[in-house]
Amino acid sequence: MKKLSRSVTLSIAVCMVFVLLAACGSNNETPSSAEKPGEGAGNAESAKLRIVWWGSQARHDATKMVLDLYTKNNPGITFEPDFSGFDSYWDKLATQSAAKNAPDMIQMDAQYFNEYAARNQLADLSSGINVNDLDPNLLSAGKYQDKLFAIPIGSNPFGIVYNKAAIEKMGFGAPGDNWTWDELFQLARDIQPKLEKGKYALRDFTVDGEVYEMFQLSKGKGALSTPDGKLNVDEATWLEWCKVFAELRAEGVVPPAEISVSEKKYDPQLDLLLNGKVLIKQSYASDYPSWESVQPGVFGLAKAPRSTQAGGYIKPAMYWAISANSDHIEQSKKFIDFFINDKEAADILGVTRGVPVSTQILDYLQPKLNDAAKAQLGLINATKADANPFTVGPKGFGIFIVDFNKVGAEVIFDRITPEQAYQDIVKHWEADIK
Amino acid sequence: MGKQINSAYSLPADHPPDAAGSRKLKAGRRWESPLAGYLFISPWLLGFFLFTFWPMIQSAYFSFTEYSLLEAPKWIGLDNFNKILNEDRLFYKSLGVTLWFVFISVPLKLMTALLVAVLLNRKLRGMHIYRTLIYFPSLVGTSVAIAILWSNMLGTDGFVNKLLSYAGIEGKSWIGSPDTALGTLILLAMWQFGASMVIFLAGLKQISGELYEAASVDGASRIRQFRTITIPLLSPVILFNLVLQTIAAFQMFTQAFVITKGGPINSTYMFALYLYEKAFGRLEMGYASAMAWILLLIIGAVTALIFFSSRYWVFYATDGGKSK
Repeated sequence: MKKLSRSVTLSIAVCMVFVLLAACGSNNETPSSAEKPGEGAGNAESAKLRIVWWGSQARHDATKMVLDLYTKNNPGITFEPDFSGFDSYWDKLATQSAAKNAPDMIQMDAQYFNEYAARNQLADLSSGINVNDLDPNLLSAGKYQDKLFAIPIGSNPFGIVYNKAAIEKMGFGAPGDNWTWDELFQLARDIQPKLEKGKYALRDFTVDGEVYEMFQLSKGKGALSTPDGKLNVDEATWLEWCKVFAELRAEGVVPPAEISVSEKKYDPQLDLLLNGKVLIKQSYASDYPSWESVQPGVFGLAKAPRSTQAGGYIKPAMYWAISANSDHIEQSKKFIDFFINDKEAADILGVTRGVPVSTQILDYLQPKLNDAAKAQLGLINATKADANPFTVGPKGFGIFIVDFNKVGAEVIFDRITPEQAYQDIVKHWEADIK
Repeated sequence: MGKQINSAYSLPADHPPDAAGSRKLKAGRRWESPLAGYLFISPWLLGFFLFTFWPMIQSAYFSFTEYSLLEAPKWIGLDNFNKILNEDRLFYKSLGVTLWFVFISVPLKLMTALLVAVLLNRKLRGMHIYRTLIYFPSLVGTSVAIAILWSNMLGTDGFVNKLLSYAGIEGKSWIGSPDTALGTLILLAMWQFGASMVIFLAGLKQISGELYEAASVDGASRIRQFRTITIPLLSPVILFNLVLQTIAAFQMFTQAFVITKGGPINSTYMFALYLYEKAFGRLEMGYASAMAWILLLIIGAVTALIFFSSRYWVFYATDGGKSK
């Protein structure tokens, strides 16, 4: 290597410089996030609050407007917002928390709440925020060992989204509130012959643990985990589920495996609902604005189908939490209080984080809601009537669902049988839940 | 990597101050203590100790601990290594995927780079423009934006399938099928041949034209000239590129993360991606650190193997024409 000639070494050096530049370019976020928000730490009046959330463009825009409004009303309080999609959000938050540099206010999800609360990462919110107008059932989902660590900011039922425009055009009516899984599968089979090649009536739910959970709930077999944190996947129900979809796959009513696994949620090109490849799939109420904003007026929400009983449940769409290491806990609490209780803020936010949790705010908003918001509210009211209790999974449950879905993918590619898949699911549970 | 730059620039200083290098000698006398030299490389040294050496020491420590990022690390001895080697199916799966990727993508990429370098080594008008254009993809190739672009182009309705449909071929989801996803990523890696290509090009320019003239006078064909002149004289450069690209390929991450997310069904689950998910998705930083050290050992072993083999195929003209 010593004997490389000078012009060779020179060009190597030039390439290295480019590599280094590229590396620096991608890293230049780090120093700014390492900046400690030390300014105004001792001053109650002025502070720069760091706030992070995940979501779609509609949510980003609305939230930024609320931040501006708050700054206008409270001169001295400014914000350093940071927002992203769901997946990368948690990677970044974990890194920041490890460096004791977590943002002051954190949008939190039920799947990760226990991880953070159990590890003393969140500040106690038992006082300082007015939660009198919140549904106590929902509020309890923000508690860890009886202490309030997170404020739910939207109620979020799980259900079905369908391409209303296309389905109505074919002459099918909207699903009623008491429709069953069998009716859903039959509807899909009826739609399929009317579709052109390369389009499918229904998404292949074998790869969606959360949808399977709705099915299992509707069979009266409970959620995927018991309230005390044990695995609760019913083998017979799982095998039935796999069989139904194997048939639908063979009939061409759900897409082939390679299409099902290449879906990227919310991506206008790669989301199977948005690119028109499937007409029916699952949706949380809070997902709905993301569909609606891409193609207004096209989609409709339907309640989770039932079998022997209802399959739906309502979970907190998301929470606000405050980092235990924040220098501005009091100011952050004030902002969260404003966020959930202020009417002006509610006007801007609408239902971008699910249906507001405060009954006062909901009553205030109801007459002003647009069609998209009404669709979400409709799903809430339909689900509320006979909702299953929502089970926060044990620590590690979020990871388990990811593994569950990977096992489902192996089933639809015919790499393993549903029986083997069940064994693998049990193994993953043992590895993931701690 | 920095080491290479370093040794490249310190080459003159290594030479004994003989009479022939009189100009260099004068320059050498001006700084008699090595302090100036260290000062010149201090920015690099600083970077190395702060951002490479220190994190390495830390990760070595973490690899013997259970560390969730959110809590303080807890010493568990060799448990992580034990678990990785004896129980972790995914470790072997991801290692297998990565080895396939390395063994196929690196030779393909180097061959492409060499081929393009040979084509660009001609005297044509506007050659500078061609060189710049062809090098360009390597500058942007690893970026996330390009990866997203590829994932759209290679989807079922993507640009690639549209092109194929004009040719009457029915496409498929290239990144959605476990049979083609890894191959697709390998082809994408080939596209970033530019850095190797530039180094090859510089190497080609070093080969004296007289050799080719003599060979053509003797009636050797172009292909024969390439085999018996170009390849042997270029072999030190090939070795360099091979080592560099192999190390880079073992750490392949961006495309697997952005385009396929390791899927479908783990068919593109690269080692670096598994490591990343362990560390930041599953908050098992200790385990991930242990994996990183195992990867370092594997890369070290493969690199050593390449260097060992080099004595049989690398030819240094300055050794008096004898292959070692």
